[in-house]
Amino acid sequence: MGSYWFAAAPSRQERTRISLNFGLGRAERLFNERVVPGLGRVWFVRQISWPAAAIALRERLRGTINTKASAISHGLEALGCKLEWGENPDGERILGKRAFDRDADDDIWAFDKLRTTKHYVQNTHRQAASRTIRDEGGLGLASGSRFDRYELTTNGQELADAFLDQPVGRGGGKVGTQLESWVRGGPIDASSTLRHAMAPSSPSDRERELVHARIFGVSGEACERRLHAAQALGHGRDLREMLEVADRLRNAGHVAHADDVVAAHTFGMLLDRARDLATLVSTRVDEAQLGWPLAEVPGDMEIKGVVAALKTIGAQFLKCAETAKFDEAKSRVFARALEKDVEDVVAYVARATSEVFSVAEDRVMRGPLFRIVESSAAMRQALEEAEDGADAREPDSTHQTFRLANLHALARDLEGKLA
Amino acid sequence: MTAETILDIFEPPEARVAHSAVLVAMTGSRDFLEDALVRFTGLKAKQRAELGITNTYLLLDAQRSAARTRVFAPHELPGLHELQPRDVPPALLHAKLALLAFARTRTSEPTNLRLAILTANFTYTSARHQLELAWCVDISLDEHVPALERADLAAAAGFVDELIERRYHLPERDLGKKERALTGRLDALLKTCMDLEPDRTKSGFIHSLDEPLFPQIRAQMKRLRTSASRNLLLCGSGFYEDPGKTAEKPTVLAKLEDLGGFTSNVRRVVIAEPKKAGALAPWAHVGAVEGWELFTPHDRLGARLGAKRTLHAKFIYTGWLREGVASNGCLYLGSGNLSRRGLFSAASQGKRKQPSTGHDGVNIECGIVIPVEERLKPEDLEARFFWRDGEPAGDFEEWETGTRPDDEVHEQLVASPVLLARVLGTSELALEWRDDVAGETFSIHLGGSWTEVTAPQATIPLQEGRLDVLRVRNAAETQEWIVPAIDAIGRTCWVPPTFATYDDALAALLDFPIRPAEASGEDDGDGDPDDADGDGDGSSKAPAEDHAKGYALHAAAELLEQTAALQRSLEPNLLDDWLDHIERFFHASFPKELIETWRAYRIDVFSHLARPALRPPALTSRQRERYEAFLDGVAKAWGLR
Repeated sequence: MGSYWFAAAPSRQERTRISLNFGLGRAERLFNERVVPGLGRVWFVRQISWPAAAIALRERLRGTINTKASAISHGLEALGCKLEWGENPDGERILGKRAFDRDADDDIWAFDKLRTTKHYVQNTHRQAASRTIRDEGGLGLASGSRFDRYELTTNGQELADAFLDQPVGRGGGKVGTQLESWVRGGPIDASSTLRHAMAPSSPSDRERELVHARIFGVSGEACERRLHAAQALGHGRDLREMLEVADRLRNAGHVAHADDVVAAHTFGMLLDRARDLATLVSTRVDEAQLGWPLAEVPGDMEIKGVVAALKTIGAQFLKCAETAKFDEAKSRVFARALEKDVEDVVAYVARATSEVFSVAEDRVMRGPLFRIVESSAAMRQALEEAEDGADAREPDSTHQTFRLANLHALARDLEGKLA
Repeated sequence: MTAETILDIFEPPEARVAHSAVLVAMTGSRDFLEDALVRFTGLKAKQRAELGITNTYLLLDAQRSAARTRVFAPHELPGLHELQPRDVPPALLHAKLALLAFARTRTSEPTNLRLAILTANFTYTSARHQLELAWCVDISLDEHVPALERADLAAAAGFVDELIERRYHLPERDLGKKERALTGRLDALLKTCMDLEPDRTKSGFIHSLDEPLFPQIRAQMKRLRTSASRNLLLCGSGFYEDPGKTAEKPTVLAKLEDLGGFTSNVRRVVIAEPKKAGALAPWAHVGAVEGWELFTPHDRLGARLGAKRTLHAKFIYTGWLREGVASNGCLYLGSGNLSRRGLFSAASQGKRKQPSTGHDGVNIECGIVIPVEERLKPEDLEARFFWRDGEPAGDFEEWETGTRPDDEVHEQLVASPVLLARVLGTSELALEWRDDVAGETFSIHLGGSWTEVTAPQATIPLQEGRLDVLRVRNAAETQEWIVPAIDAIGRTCWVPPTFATYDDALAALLDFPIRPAEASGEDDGDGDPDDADGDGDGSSKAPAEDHAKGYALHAAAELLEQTAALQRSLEPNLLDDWLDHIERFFHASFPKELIETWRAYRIDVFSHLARPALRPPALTSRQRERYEAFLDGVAKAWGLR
């Protein structure tokens, strides 16, 4: 309370502002599903265990306290992250570091507090895993249309039990019993066994075994692709380049999958170069108060250089997409439009970003959500430094590897190795 | 919690929720304001639209541009109402402040107030790419509030009240307080603040509605200085005045030398962006800067974060500098740049005639003058005033004025002729008109077509029965406005949540208190909302037959059992929120098929919900009356009675 003054730190970048996909979101999702099907944004085992355990806990508590599965799930992961943070504050899988730092003097452990944005984060691991755990297009651990209405399948129940039956303390108690009491408002004993049972970096062997079976051990093309991609990625600590992964897939005889990886990689570069153009255009529009005349485009060497790079990658993408039989209308139309004159390319990319720009006949004006667009490199930097949320922490946070980075990290976690 | 970023200012205190806010700035962008509203209310746009409560009021400058041809439409920023500007002599609204109230529950009275005086607009350009300062005061009405803080809150609220009175249309003035669904919270906010005004204590808040800022800054600083003398004058600004014909010392700097109380060996430091140095540029070019030291801003924090930010803050600090440490200081921070318009103009000097250049007009500014008791070490001076002593600007060749003759001259926005639409009963719409359009004809969009209406026609028939906004066009069809609509139960711009299945509707009904955005169970996932071919989870399109799983009686029993269980466990202070919540749900959210089945089997769940054993046990008589009235109303609307 009282008054104070301050020089403002930069406000945190919201995810919606960072994403700029030129209306090509569907193509991006299709590539994700071709490269690594059914994995969503998951990259370590406990991201899957927490929500499954939360749904099971909701059922156990039904009738005594009607708490939603999403709230329980946020509580479980917040508790796990905070317990691990106390031991290893730099852990990569920990969300909520800022809030935990802020709360360091207040000792916040109550379920009703710890699960909230104020004491944890807004973008949770649960949100990243919601689609992954369900049966349609996911790992088949739960069924239903909305997370709070999910019901566990037999496989999901098995995983939840594996998590909740872990022993804690010395008296032979189980983590599930402690968590039930905690969700009901009771205290929690932050013991080292509880930390081990909850933390993002210490999945039990049984959890690993069950998740491994769902990712690599079921029938169907999706599972085969995950398995082949994981084999091509290898077990090394460092992530292989996408094109190297494609080569290894091809050498192993998985030609169609290899073509998809190459096409996805080219598509990623196409988005990057388009973004770089949007960055330059936004700078020009910002400087020109009454709009930036398109007539200035041909004389602007910097713009011409970026457009040339975009055109090259556009042509490359069309070829790769054809090879991969990737027939998605919007991305094809976008790449074809890059074959036009430099002025038209600028106008086209500006029109494809209608929230940032509006294009009048002869000039690019500020759009309703105009801003200086971060370049592809700056965007990565901003994501790494500015946000404490699941979507910023995942290895594929910039969507450059079409989930290969996530699969690589998950495969290592399944083997008990750190990311 | 103390704010560190501009967005932090919107965060409610611990255990409090948003009650109301009024935001004043020259510009505001939709993306920043949306994020601010999410911080303030804890609710995403869709959740706020489903709530049907307007609690944030926005006053922006009335200038028109290609990207801004009207005020924000209600659906662009649910929960926010941007006031329509009046046609008055032009004055640039340049003041920047946020006045916020918080409460224990979403429907209770304010318990906490916050005032923030900013140098920033409500845009991400300000919040991320510019160096800005802010001053905040937070008070709890449950505790003793010092007289100075009460004076500051009251003065700021008084300024907003006067600003609205002189320059904006405020609907619902003819209605009683309780009937002001759109502006009731604004009235409550301003009144709560103005009622705090102490008898004698003078506020440090200043504005230029009647008098320019500079004389007020000088008087305030003199008052705060008492007998102490100062040997440091440190100031900065995002813009400086337009250069005159000769490369003279800028007027503002000459005036600042006259603030008073300085020793003969005073250091005068001015910080400027080299590309926006205004009159400093030609003055520096000729090397005639005696008596002043010119610096460019240093952004240590931004450099660490990889952000390249430019100076936009406007401040004047006076203090005692010894061995690099400043103390015993006094600070002005606010919207007024160190320019003639920023510090030496007042709205009262505005003329009807459009100024020929941007530098001829007048500004409406505000700011605060405060004592700075803390000792500011060199690192503090760098972090908070962007001043790194010992590194003065050297190469003035690259300094530019950064101003152009046509800067800031704009047409004004034209306000919508209809300010508000209000649904009366089930078949009539009342229109509230601007008071200066009588006799003119406009079109409004109703029932899928445009209908002509002549001001001030008070009511028109309404077929839809429900309306969240009203579209209005001028006769020439060159301008369209979208104005708020109030429904028959007093919700503003309400978009009722609808559910295709009984299960989803029941789950949402029992999802109380309303969950903040992050815990709503909705997934941010991969879905692309504007991609029709996307593979979203399709939850809203689940087959309507779904509720067949629970045949009618079972569904009714489940509804009664679970609703009653929740009602029994409610804290008394949440009851008003709960009544609001169920009223909203029963009015519009249950699947039609279910309602038809219950009607066919004459299953009246509402008569059971009214029984003492099932209704909330701690209702006051007023609440019980409301509860029973709407149960009866819904039962009739559903055809159960």
